[in-house]
Amino acid sequence: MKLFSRRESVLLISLLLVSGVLFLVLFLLRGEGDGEWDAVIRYRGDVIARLPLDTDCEYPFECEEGVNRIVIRDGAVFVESADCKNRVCVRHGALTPDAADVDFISCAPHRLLIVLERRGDE
Amino acid sequence: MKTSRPTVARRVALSAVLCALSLLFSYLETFIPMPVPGMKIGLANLIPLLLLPTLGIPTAACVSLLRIALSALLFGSPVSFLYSLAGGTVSFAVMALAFKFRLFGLTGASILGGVFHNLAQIAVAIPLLGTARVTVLLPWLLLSGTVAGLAVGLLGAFLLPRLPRSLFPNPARKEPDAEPAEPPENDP
Repeated sequence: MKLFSRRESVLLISLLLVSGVLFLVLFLLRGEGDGEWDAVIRYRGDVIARLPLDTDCEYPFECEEGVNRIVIRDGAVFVESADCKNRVCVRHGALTPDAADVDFISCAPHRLLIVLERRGDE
Repeated sequence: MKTSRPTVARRVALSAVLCALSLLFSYLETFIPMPVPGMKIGLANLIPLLLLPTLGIPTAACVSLLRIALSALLFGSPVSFLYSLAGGTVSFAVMALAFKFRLFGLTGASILGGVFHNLAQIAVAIPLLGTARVTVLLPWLLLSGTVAGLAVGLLGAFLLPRLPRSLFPNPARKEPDAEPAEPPENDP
């Protein structure tokens, strides 16, 4: 049995091209970081808190699934610690307004989502 | 002609052992560091992939589903189970279809499987996290699914002719764009 057929290389190249185009779109969508921003914290899709990004604070998030310590410092939001297993949210690092349109912090086990929104939107 | 199809008992025993191996792969994989958190190779999928041309689609489906359920029970949470179940079923269905209708060999099936695994997980993340914003992960997941699927697929295609014939029935099937039969290569 052949390891790799011609049809498979076509599939591979087209998939790489599609993801390349998507990366480009994502790059073009990156907005400006100016202005005033809020860190919007959503649990199961509902907004549970809206924290101004220009005020340092700590927000201990608790839900029946677990706990995440959300911290705002120097105009960025990050998750300091969490009691979930994969700790993807902690390893994500800080979320800043430069990447507000294309990035977010999520904790899938706790169904928690942190996004940045321009103040006054919504 | 000698076609010794394994008995039902042998098939069940073999599937159980392979399911355990698949479970071990999915556990070991959590120790492999990845550049982007949450990204993975999908090594556990190697087992169902190898079962497609040998023991058949139903057996491969059982092993795949059982592995997902056991993995969630042992290492996961209810929410992680939803993600793996969505990714696992969609990716397996796509792989089985691609393979059954001879669209691709093992490598191509595995690439499609990797991509659709990640697409299904995004689709599940939208209602679970309650926002369509997760779609910005699409390029990352498309790329990582393609590369991971390629790696697992190449490994599977490499291993397939080297499996012990006494355990696995001969993979009797032609490649989608197979050339006229080549003489079997002899390993030194």
